[in-house]
Amino acid sequence: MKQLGTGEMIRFVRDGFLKLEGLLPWDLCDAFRAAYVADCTDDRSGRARLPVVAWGTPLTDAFDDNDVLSRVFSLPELAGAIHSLLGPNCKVDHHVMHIREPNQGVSQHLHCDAMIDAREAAFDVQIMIYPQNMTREMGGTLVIPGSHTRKAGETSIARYQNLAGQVQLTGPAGTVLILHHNLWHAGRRNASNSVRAMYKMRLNPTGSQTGHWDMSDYDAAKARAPKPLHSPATCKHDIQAKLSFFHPWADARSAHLDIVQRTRLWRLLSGDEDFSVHHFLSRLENEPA
Amino acid sequence: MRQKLLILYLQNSALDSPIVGWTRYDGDTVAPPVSGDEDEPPYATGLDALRDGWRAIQFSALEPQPGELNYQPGWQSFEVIMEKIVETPR
Repeated sequence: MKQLGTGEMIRFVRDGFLKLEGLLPWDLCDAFRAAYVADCTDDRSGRARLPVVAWGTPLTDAFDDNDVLSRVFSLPELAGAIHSLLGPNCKVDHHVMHIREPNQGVSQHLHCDAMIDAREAAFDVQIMIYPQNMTREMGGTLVIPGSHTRKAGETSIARYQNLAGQVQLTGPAGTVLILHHNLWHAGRRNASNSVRAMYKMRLNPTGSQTGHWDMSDYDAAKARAPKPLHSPATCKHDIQAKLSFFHPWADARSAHLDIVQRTRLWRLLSGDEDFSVHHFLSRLENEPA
Repeated sequence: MRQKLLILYLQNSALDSPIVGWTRYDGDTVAPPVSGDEDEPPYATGLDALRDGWRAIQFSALEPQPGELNYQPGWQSFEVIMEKIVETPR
């Protein structure tokens, strides 16, 4: 498998998602559409095509070897990304197919999947696979970068129609999104003349999520070295500068709290409990006896 | 008469701060509201909307947010609901 690198992990912690453009080769996209999408007209028919997988099933046991999905989840880049974020032996939560008919007027409301999640640190990931070319008109998934730090349940955020910096998924067939479970997202309206399909798989960790990425170029001491705002990088990837980013949709009050939450997530993934983005969280932890 | 609503989300509690999110509900059309299709806000600031004839009818309260003292960010903190009344028949 091909694990994620430090730069990709920083992007995931900052944005709450990764986009792997055109990851599935063309022949696998063709096989995917033939197996699960062809002639499907709505979600119900799309879901009926998928193998039944009980929640709690190890991902490695979820599919028969001759299932196209077995080939998909065996791709070294996808298997490596899942391993990097969840650690070994992750389990299936559920999987589903979304089919959107052409020329729709209606979009989904912005939402997080499932009820509000109060977990402090552990997180699930959702894998979204687009087996056909995705144009803007096809209304691919809308995601709000960085919203994974804002815990929300279901459509409690539905009133937000447009947020500055929102991303409308486009890309070649075989593009894959990997989402933190709490990322705000929505299926946009399909204004094209083509059917749009999106396969989604939610996966749960079964153990520690610390230290499973390719850390060969990660120097914890340099990453955590005290670094004033706007000062030169202390490490190769300038992690503190990248994780102190203000997403354009974030109000100033909560944007600072986002940095605290990203710091906590980086601590979880790196195992470095002394890491702080600048002095944002370390300042708050200073309670001398 | 029909009501058009423009809901703005601002960078801070001042009406002249930048718009970071926006939502439209139009009582003068039967077209459904759409999420995520607009790239640019309708105005740079809330005050610009006011100057274009939108009437502010509600502001979010200025008060601590639940969870803030545990460093949990909320959603959008600074919401302004604005309206225009149109008299032309649909």
